[in-house]
Amino acid sequence: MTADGPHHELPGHSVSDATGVSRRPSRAGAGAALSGGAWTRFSRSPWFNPLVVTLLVGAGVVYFFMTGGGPRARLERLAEVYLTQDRWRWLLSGLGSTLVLTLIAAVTGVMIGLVLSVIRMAWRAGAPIALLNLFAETYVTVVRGTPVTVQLMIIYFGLFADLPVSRVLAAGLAFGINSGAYVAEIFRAGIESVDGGQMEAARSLGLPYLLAMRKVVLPQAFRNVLPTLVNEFITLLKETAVAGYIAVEDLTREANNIRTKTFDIGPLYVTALIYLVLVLLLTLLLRRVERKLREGDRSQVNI
Amino acid sequence: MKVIEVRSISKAYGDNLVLDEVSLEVRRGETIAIIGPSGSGKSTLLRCMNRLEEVDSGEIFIDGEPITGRGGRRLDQVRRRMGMVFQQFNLFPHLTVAGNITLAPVSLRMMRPDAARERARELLRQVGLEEKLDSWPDQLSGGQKQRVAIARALAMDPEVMLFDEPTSALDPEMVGEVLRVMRDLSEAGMTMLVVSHELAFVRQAATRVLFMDAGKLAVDLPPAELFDNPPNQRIRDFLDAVQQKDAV
Repeated sequence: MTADGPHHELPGHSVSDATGVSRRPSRAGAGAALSGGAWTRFSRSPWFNPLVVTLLVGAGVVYFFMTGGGPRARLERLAEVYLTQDRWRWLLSGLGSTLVLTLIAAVTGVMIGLVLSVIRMAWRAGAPIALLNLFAETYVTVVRGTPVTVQLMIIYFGLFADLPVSRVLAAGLAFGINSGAYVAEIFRAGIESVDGGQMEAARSLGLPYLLAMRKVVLPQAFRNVLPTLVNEFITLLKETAVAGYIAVEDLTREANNIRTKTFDIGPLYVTALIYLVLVLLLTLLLRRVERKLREGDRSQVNI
Repeated sequence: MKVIEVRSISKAYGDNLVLDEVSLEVRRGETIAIIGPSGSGKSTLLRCMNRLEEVDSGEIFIDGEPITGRGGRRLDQVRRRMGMVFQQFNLFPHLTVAGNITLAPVSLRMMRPDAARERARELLRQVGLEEKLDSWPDQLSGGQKQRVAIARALAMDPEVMLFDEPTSALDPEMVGEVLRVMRDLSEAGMTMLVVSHELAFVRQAATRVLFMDAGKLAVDLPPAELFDNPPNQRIRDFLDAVQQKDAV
């Protein structure tokens, strides 16, 4: 809270107007001063979330003061930490690894989750696949019942030990194998959310089970779980921060590399901020997706 | 000529016997109406015929071929020869009307997409909905949805059409349009089994009426005989009850 006390409000985000009744942002006050559309749009976008602004500004402020000294000393310190040895590039390449890692994991996870969920649904529908189903259930139980870090190390130092697989790829697959178990549960719920009559209608037309699943049930299930799926990707992105356990030079590990070289914890704040921005971008994507889905529903009803 | 032969099939859900030694022969071109109190096994009988439900005992033959018992691929072949229309339409909401109709013929590689689309247009003309080819299911009324569902089933060129209470989820003003399509189909010589309590339609279109009661096939008569001269009190009461509902 600022020293100005309760009367201070961010422009364009006043909580009440003069009457104290309306709780909508006042356009007349701030909008006039800031000449129009851009600010209004910004203030109404999901970005303009007080919590988000506080976090962003707060992190920046904390970071700046952590480096100590007067303005000149601070700048020199920043230059030493980030410009010496081009260390800022470490963060950049770490970010690259993190993104590649997450992408590999997301794709692997979705494919594994898809197969596992279909196995479990087909078993429930009476397909003679007891062994496959046992495998799928065991997979989900084991993966969800053990820490991802342990899985990561077992997979890299154990299963992939003698294979010519790069660390990033190995870590990507490991996180994908982990995520697959969670995605399987998401898809299972999605498939269950599709009316049983859909499968019956498809089967009554002579479509085999898997084809009916692929053409009729899964497209509807996918649509239902898309928001949950994006949430899983957000979790996944943050989880990859433990990839350093198998010496993957991801964003987190690169930040720590700089810290050990400079004894400056600033890079960790920068890293936190980068993760936060990535997560916010995914959240924006999620909102877009949700809005598109809602609009889709509406247009189909109204026309 | 026999298209379907049902030989004493039985089916139970737990202790509840829903089909009790039902036997039935369906000749080509017949329209058979199945009526009876709720829970008497009408829907289950239909659903056993294309094996959405499995019978516990007994046999079903199509063109002399047994369809009961095990066998995955053959099951899908059997279903392609029987179109099914459901009470709740079950259109695929993520596909357009054309997509609904062409899905099975195209993805089973029985037709090329453009040929299937032309066929869809033709079938829609038949059910009076040609202009809805590229509409979405959500844009259709209940009666239109059900007519599309009929077109979708016809796209597989089935030998038999099964209708499971096709009008009971419809608003009253939409029942007629669906029944008209069914009557046309019946007059064109399609073999049909219809679970329906639309007695006027049954009287007009059916060649035989089956009255089911507690899992048994109680009566099997031409509609005129059954309606004008109900063979027993139980049926008389049932017909009265249905007609009273219509009168109210």
